[in-house]
Amino acid sequence: MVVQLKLSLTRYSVALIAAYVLAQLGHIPRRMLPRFAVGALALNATEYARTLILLTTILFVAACGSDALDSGFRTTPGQTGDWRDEVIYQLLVDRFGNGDLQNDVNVNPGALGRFQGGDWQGVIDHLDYLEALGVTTLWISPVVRNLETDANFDSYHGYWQQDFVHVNPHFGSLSKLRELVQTAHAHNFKVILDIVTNHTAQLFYYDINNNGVPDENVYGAGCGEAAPADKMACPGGALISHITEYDPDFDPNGVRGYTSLGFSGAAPIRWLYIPEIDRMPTLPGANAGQALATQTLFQNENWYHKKGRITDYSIRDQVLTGDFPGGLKDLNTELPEVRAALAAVFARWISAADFDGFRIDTLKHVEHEFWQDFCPKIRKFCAGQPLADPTQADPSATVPALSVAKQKFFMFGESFDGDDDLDGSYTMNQEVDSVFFFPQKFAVFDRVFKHGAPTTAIETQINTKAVKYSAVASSDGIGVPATQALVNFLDNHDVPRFLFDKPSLPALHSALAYLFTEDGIPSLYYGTEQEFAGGNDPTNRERLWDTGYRTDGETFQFIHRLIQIRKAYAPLRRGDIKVKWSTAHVGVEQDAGIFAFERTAEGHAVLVVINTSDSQTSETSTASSGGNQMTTDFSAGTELIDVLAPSGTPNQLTVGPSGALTVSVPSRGAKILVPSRDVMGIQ
Amino acid sequence: MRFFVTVHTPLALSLSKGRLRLYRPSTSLRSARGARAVGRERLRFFLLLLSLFSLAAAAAEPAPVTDPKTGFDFGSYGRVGVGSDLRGHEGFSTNVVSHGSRLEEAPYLELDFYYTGLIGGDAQKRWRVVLSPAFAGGDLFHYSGSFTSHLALRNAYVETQNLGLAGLRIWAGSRIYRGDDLYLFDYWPLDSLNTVGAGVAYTFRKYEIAIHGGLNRLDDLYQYENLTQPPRGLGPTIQSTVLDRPRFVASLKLSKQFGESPGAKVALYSELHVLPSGDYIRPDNMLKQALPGDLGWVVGAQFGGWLRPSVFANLWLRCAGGLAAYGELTVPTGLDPTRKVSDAREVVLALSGNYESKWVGVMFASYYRRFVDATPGGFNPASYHEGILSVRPQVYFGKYFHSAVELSYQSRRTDGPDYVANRVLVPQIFRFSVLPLVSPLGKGTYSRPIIYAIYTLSVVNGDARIAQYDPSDYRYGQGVAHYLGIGAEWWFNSSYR
Repeated sequence: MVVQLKLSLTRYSVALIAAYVLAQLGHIPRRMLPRFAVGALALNATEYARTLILLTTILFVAACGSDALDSGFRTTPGQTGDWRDEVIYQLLVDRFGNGDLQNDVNVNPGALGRFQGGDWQGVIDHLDYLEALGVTTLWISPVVRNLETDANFDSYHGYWQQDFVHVNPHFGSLSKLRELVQTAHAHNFKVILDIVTNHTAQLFYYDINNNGVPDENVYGAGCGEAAPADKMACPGGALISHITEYDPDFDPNGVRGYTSLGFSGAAPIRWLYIPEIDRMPTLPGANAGQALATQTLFQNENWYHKKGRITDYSIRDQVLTGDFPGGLKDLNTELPEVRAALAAVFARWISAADFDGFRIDTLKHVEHEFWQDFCPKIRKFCAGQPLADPTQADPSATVPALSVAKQKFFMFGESFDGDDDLDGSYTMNQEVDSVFFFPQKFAVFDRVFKHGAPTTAIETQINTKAVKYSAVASSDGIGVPATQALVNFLDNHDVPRFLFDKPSLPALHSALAYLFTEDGIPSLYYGTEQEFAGGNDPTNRERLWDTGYRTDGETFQFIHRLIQIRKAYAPLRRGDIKVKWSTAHVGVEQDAGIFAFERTAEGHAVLVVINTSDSQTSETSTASSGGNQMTTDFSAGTELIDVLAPSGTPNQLTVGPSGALTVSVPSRGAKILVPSRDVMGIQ
Repeated sequence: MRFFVTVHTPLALSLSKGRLRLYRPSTSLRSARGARAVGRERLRFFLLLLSLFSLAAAAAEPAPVTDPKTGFDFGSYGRVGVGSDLRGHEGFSTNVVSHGSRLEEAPYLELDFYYTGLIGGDAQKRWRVVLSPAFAGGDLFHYSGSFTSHLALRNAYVETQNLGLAGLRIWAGSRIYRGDDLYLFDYWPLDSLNTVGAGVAYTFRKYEIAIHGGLNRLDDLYQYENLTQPPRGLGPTIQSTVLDRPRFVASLKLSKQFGESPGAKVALYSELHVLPSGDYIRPDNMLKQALPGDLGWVVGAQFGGWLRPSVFANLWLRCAGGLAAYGELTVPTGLDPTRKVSDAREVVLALSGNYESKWVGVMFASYYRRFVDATPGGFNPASYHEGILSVRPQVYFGKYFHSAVELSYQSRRTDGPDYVANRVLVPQIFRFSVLPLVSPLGKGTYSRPIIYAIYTLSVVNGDARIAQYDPSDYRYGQGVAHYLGIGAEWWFNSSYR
């Protein structure tokens, strides 16, 4: 039977064009194209039907996607930008936007410890909102499949990973994730994936008394005596302790079996099997063809430290090898096979969805040697090299090299610590490109901007940064050293929001002014623009859609303005920073609460002056008390324009002799002073 | 011509003449059991037998059809009874052997539905459908008030008769497939299979060969495992079939009848059980565990003789090994270290008979059974010897009113000490029963239906009570047990063929 030529040619054309488009988008390998061509040309009915079926199948696959990771998904050419130009927007997928009601399973509206229904479609739907705000990079919460719920709290945040290689269906399919990245790239957003290498969810328990069930037991005989040598130590000298076998206290020797008779050797671990909530052994746990077999890969108990929960964060061994509180089981990342597997599973996500960077959770809970292995591997992979993949059955299997090399893949980590030495150490020796600037969060945003500490603390922090963090960019890294690329933030999902601790919009705005003008990469926690004021987890994880995504709010507009200014003036993004004024004064002094600094790049400079005082207008001068006024690097007579000032307000200053300049800033105000010759129009 | 297979009556009748000389395996064959060469020799032996039967069949006359009726028909077997222990409790059965007296058994009912048709209008060629739902467990609504029943479909098969070859029967479906029983114990000592499969039986002159093969897959982790797994995406969990290994059971029965009345018969019987290997996942720790393939076998024989239809005796010998020692519907109670049951054994020697005269009938039955569990070790309480001897004389006071007395003794001895008593127990029970009964169809120990009253006195020794009851059980202290009750039993047109 022969079909009409006209019809065949029409459909042939459509099929071929569709196949070509799909190939270009990476949905099908390009090598398939000749087959389409041959198949579509066939006039024989069987071959014609086969062609249509093949095309339909591919279209269906492209439309529906699958949850299996494969390679070759690219939406943009290799990354080339300077990460200092970026403004990161941290969003919890479950809280940002609910675009797909079909995946609203086990949603408990309003109970913020439970799923709320947000998903990747919700992010796609509101990219315009983010464009309006002006942020440039989306840091999305983890995408992998999680233990659903634990102790009546849900894994809406994504950090309870159970399966390293499949998407969390609450947020959508792999194809939806790809669509998110693809759409975001089309809107010139970069997308950062949140990953966890330190631990898995609470998927097994320590059978301390070896009775095969997870118990919660009380040990000991009361307080008042010294613990016998063969008995379990008690916190604070007490001879009684409450132990849960899900999450027992740290033991440097590994969690030990124990009964009232004393210790009995290493406590065996026992996996939990509750498929209804994905409380199942970690995946991948078996090579292909060995589904459900245990004792391999992430189900190998030797892949975990098995020392119990961290009880003292000052003890480095506990931090590195203890379980993260909540029973999150610590991976034995010292093992080469664990390192190789973690690198492979996360490299696959780069390949699968074309991410532009990793935000790495619990950085300080993993030893340096791991990062010295992991980060270079990822950089080489992004540079176009295949990566060995021990999670596959074939010992020679690799994560295939990216079809287009991805340069400047950004890796920054969460070292939740105020210790610059510790945080900075992770930026050395080819480890991560950057870290969250937690010391600044504590010393500057909390102490100064929230609680009125002297602005000398800011200068101290800037000076400390210069010596505690790597001043050398990593090979194949982002091209700038950590000292210039620390990720600055006011708050995030793990700490109370700024407005919770300091319920003052002016205070928030002054902090935001510093966030977007200091050196480094600003990271804005979602909802800040909507003036969210939640306290500790989970109340700091509000639903954004309750705001109606308004863009006319005062803070939204203020942030938008700051970002536009940052984008317009290169010194605010890439310039060196030089402190021009800091003060120990926090009272009624002339300069109380004032902090001023210059950002200079390529012969251009911007002067930023911020007043952290809650009570008075202050100046960059102590002349009234016999002191000096601020000296800038601008030449005398330079006319400076405050580009942050609302239109219609005085915004012009002239630099005096020798660069002298007294800038008066209202309480909690900020000025961004740009030489008039450099001023640009800003939308 | 009739089948040798009966269910609720042990009368196995054959009316034609003929002789069969069976090929005897060589000495080396018998001594080298299990060897591959022996297997080939057995196959040749089997093929030779088939050839002999085929040659004989060519000269055979068409077999007369047993039942001339066509269309719908109905039959049934049933028993219903209730009693008291005269101490305020429900009456209970007292047995310590695997197959003891049936007098106080729980109610059971089979409903047999048939539909029979002719093939090509030839009265000699027929087909029929047999459906037998059965209720078991004694869950009578009028007793428990519970509107639930244990319902099973015992028969659901189609059979043809004389199609293609006179004397040939072909069937397929789900079927009770068994031979003669020890009525007093409700026990089929040689061939009793429950199968979903198919079979062929060919009868010529006074020979019969019956071959059958079927599958079963018990709903147990030994043969089947269905695991709940996490949802693929969101939504309900999914089911994963981890283990699915049906057991293949094949049987071969060769029978030969001698004489008419009086007459005799000989039957040789064998079974083969094949269980493929598989893996299951232990639900407690999800570790995958290999289950090796396993085998079972049965060889046995039956010898019967009769002076007339109501006066007969049967002798059975059954030897079973491996899987077959436990029966086809039973999960092995013990495994060897390789998780096989190769060393399990069952030997049964059974005898039954019946005598009828004008005023008296006598049923008697006895068996000895040795069972060896597969678990290694010589002191296994799961291995045992057991035996029972029972006689039931029945006096006819006229055509419809009779009275029977049943006397029996039974005992068991385990190889290993009892878990509670810490010693080997030798439970023993002596029973004495009186059954005045009404028999609407007249005289005969096998005449049914009957309506009866029953009183049973059981002397239960201490070991029997220790073996069966917890000390908190009210029966634990009853060295002498009573049962006073009434009951009824019937069968008509039952699905024994």
